[in-house]
Amino acid sequence: MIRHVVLFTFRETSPAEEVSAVVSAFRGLNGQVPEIQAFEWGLNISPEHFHQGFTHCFVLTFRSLEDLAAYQVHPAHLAFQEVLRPHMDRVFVVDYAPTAG
Amino acid sequence: MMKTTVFLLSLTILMAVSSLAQTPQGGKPMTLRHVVLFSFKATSIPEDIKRVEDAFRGLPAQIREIKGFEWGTNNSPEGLAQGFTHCFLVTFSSEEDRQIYLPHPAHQAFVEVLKPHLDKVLVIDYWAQK
Repeated sequence: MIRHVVLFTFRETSPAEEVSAVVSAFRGLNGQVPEIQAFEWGLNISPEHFHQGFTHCFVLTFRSLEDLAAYQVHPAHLAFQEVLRPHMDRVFVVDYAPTAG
Repeated sequence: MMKTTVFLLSLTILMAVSSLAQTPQGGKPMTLRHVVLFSFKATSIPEDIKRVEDAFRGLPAQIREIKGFEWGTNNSPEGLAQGFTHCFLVTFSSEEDRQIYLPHPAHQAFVEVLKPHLDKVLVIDYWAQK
């Protein structure tokens, strides 16, 4: 199993509705890309000030690195990136094979 | 008697509504994710880093507010990880539980194990939505 963790900050000039549209487009991938096994997201509420200004966190789960690679080049994912691009400020990505405990 | 019943009923409704107000998904079991990323100092040897991993992994047994725990090392080919190597995903069911965890003596003891080896830290908390 592979977790794909994606953080974004958005441009100050991007209105809230545009940012919501990006979130909706990302959520829409779960259903269009069969390799996505699980999808969750949320807005940062950490009180610790170690967040580098990142506001949005998305965690996608894949069965394997091969499935994650298939997702990366899937037309629906590429179409999402076009929705994202005009509004994205910064991005952070880590992938890991989770060990429980 | 009637007054007491009405009062208790109102109180129950009020408590239910106020608990919903704290929960973006309204009533369902809540999942608060605490994402913690580390990079370690170049001078820290693998045994040091293993000691930090083991200390973090020991926390779920010591802090009952931790409802879920997993971790792994970064293997993203995208080059967007700023050199962060370790990701820990800790799950709580409320912000109150996270507030108990942060100053918990076991967590503080872990931070002491971590501190000499920590290069950078990134922390994001979010209420998990679909």
